[in-house]
Amino acid sequence: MRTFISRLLDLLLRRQREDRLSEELQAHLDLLADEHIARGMSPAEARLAARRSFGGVDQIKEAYRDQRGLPLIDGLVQDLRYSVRMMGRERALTLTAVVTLGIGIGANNTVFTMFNAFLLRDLPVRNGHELVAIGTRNIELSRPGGVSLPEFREWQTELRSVRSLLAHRTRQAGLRGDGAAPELIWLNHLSERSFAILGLSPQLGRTFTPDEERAGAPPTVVIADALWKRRYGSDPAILGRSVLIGDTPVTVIGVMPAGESFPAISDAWQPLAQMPGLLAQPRTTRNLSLLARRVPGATMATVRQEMAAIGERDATLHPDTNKVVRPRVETVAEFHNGGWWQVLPALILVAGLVLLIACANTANLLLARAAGRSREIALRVSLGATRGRIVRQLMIESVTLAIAAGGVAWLVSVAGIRYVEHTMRNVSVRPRWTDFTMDAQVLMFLAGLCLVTPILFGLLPAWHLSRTKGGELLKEGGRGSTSRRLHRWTSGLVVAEIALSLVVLTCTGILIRTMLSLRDADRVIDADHLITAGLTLPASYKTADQRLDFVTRFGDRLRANPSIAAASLASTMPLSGIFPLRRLGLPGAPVTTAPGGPEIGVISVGAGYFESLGVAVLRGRAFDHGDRLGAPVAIVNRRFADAHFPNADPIGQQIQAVEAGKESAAAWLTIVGVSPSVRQAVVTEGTPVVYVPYRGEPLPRLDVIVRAAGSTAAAMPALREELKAVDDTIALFNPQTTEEMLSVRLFTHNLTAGLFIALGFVALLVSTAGLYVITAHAVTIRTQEIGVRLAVGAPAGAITWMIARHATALIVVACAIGAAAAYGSRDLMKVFVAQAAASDWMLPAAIAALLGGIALAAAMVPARRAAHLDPVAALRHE
Amino acid sequence: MTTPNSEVPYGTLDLMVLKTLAGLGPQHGYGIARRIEQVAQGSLNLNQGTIYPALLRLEQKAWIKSEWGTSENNRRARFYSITAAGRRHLAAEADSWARTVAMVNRLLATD
Repeated sequence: MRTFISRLLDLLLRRQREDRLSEELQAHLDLLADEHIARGMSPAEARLAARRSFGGVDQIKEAYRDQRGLPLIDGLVQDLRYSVRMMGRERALTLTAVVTLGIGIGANNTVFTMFNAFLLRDLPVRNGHELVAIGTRNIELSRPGGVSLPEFREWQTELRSVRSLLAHRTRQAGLRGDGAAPELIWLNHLSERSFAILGLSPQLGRTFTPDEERAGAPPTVVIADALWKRRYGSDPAILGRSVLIGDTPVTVIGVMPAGESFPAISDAWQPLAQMPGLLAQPRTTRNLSLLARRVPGATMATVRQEMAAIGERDATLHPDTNKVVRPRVETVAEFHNGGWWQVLPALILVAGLVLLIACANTANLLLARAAGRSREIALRVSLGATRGRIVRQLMIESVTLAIAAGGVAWLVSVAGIRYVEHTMRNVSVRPRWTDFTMDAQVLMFLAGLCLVTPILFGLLPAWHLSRTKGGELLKEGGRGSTSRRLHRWTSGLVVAEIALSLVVLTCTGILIRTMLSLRDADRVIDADHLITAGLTLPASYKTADQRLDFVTRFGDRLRANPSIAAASLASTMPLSGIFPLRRLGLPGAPVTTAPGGPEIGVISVGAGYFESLGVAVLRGRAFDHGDRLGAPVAIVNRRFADAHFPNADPIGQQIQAVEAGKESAAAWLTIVGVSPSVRQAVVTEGTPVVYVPYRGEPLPRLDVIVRAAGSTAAAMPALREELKAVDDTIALFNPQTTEEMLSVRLFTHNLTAGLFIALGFVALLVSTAGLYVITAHAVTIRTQEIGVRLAVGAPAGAITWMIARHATALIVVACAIGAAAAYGSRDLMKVFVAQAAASDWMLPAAIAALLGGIALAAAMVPARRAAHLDPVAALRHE
Repeated sequence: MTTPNSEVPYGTLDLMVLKTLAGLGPQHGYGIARRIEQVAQGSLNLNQGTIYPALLRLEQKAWIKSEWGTSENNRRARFYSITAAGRRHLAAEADSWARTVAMVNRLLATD
């Protein structure tokens, strides 16, 4: 080892050591000569004699050098220097290769950074990698769900593959009674000892004692650092103070450290026992999420296996509640982010294809450069370089290129991540630990790509060049059979590149179309000047009439305010997707309550609902004053009308919205109007919706919809003022303009569409740049020939055509192959994105035409330049 | 690693250099070569240059160290001296050498 370090030092200090050796040997010779002179020799004779007894100076130096340094690395360093010099020689080719490859690698690195942040990161708690998330799945509706309290308690004692099972549930709760304005916060309920299990401790105060975690104990709360700073100005005297959460007085006992937001977003934590209505929860109320630590040796598969067995047992044991419900085991990252990022695999695939195009492009550029280098290689082979040595040299050049491209890639991913951050800046439900830092894993991925891609793009050119034979090529002057072989490869790669780009562009085209159509589906509301906010009526509003009174009074006050043009309250606002699902009852037909049967959404609305959304009722009428007092009437959306009354006039028809378990209580409603299908959820499922007057379904959870008369900035304080005037104990949750809300709710669609557009553009850019450089290079190689042709009188058009002919043929072949492949793989995207729009032959054909046109334009530039070469200069070109 | 091109038995040159440095204290390459020739009394055909690869080898193993100094007739020269590790190695090698020689002698004595 010590020898190795010494040798390594030698390598780095090569120049110094070389000088030292020379000086030392010279000193020795001088000393010898001195001695001979002392014996009476002439200085010249003495020097000769000294040399004789010393031995060959150069042989000694060689032996010395062999022992010094690391011959292998020495060679590598030599190769590396050489490759940097070679890269400098063909600047245009090198630059194109570095930039296009860099963009290809950068695109992949950006996608990986997102993948890493969303799906590979552990929860930031002690030994976060051990944690698994356990929930349930309704196998009939294939919908994910939580776990009920009885299930949690049973599993807590019986699970063997995991330990420390804990339950948590985040909900919104009103915070007031502390002097500041009421506020809705994210409150997280935790089962016993959760903080200890997770290894979380407060920065101030303490967490819950076992007594406080029992049902019926005096309520306590631990708050987040952000809330402490924001609401209490970091005042340590908050400890021991009593605040109101909902309507309950609660004592603040601790403050968690900055940045702590377990599990994803939380402003405060309370024991599970403080969750309202917890103990009365039946097996069907599945609103808990579970976390557990895997025991040593247990993998995700082990846990899944155990949970699957328990699921089967529970289904037999409790057929009425568990028949269609099975446990679901995920990593914590999947649990929090899996849903949003179903589109990630499609992104990874497309990014991978783009990288493949970039590699083909780079291989091509290297082959083009190889044409100019065969003479150099032939010379080296003649001088005795082995084939392995040549391949090594060329591969090192490829790696050098990829490392330079890695630098470009890093810049590209920094820009890419900035774009992603920008798109997600308002997304409040994103777990705080999913930040896009380029951590060690991302850097390793980037380094890996820089080392793997040279194999993809470098081996073919290296293998090709290493077949060069010594004498033959020197005789031919660098052209001949090798060039023809080279030509075939280059053409093949150009075709592959363009064809692959066509497939990528078609895939991205389909996905962009899908994302945009999902984003814009049923967006019939007029979002201009619209503000929405949520609120929850406190428990003091006991009766339906009290609630209706609030809705009426608050709505009237809002509508009377001069800065507000229209306003309404409803049980849910468009795009929030929170509404009860019911079964449809029709006269004379039994209600199908079987799981998986058709469902309808029920939304209860106050006065002025459709006006404030800017939506006109299509047929029939809106609700009137009489309806609002409790008439059994309904307005259905168009999707409902199409689904259930395809051939009849829905107006005047009788329907029931049946709640499971309350079949007999459902009232018959008369349809009085048909509204357009207003988008209700982020993921459009096209649920048929029934609107009823608020009195018909008086839920305490309400959304306010306000259309500003002038600017939304003026209407926002008006909204707060009016609420305060009606009831100053109610907190307004998340008031925002609809533009903001849309950008938040639909960010996945915007973001993925944006990323796919970027990837498609990169594919287009890389393949076009490749074709341009290849054609330009062909012109350079054939300059002499072109000069001859021009000198003997070839017309410019003929020269242009001579160069462009080949490029055109390649483009036509590539577009034909690519369009066929794209058409063949048109359903590929359905694998990744279920709602992927179907593709016809039009899209591939249109993209083929577009790509072909751009590629042809790129090839025409050098072809036209060739025709305008100066014949005399061209003839002299070497 | 190449074998030094000399008629000195392979592996013994290192030992001789270490012994010389252990006996005489810091020496430059020329002094070491001279000393070995003196002791050999003409029975060894040493190309003086061959001790430099040996010196490098020993230095890489940290058995000797070197620094620039001035020779007795005022020339700049590199002086080598033995390290503690070098002394330990010399003791072990000398012992092993003695045993090898004794063994070979016994072998040659029996016919």
